[in-house]
Amino acid sequence: MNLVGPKSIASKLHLLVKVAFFLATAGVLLMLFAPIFPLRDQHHVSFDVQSGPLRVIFDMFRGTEARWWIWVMELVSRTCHAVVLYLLMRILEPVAAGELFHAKTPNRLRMMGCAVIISSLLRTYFCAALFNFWAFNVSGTHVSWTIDTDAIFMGIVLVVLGEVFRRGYVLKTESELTV
Amino acid sequence: MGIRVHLDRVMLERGISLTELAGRVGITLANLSILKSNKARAIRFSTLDALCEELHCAPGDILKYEIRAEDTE
Repeated sequence: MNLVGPKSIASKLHLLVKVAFFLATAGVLLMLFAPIFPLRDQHHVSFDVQSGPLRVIFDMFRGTEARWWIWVMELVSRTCHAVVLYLLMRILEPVAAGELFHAKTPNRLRMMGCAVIISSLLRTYFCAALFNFWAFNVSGTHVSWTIDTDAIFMGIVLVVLGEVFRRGYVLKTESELTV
Repeated sequence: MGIRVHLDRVMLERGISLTELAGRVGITLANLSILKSNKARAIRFSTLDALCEELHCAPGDILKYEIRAEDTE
């Protein structure tokens, strides 16, 4: 089976990413309207926040302002994920059609890298801030936190790949216009 | 670009069409059209050689250097 072009692995991957994007968008829309619906059982309200090595379930914030902060963080973070999926879908479109170096691919890769870094930093910062808030209120202690270096590394790799694809597009254009 | 392709003028002088020249030289009509409309970034020696052979001319008849407007200012 071919890697690129019609009926290839890339075209199947494009379809898969398209489905994932629509699911992610539906998730963001559902989350956007979540505060409208009243929560029936306040005792079971919990927020699961995960960022790199930190994974905390905040169920002690019911009735406080903290859950709104978590809601905003989750909303922005999931929007970033939807943006990443959208950009990946648009990158795979020309690849599935057989065109590896498209004019817009470098910018899309750069934007994808930035979205990954922003999402990662946002989650880490909020997670640490809330965890410290909880720890300080409960036990009076302060906990340290680390940045999700893997996601930042991935973001930088995507930005560098964007530059590689930009040069590839320039070479492709040069080659096409050589007679 | 300072170098201009005057293929259309040479073709007119020789009375040969673009399709006929493309067939004789052995390059596609699309590529020859790119060359004729001055959109080409580069030209291979083999292409130039074939064009000169078919049109019975020198490379200087096809390619001319023209001073850019911004260079004269």
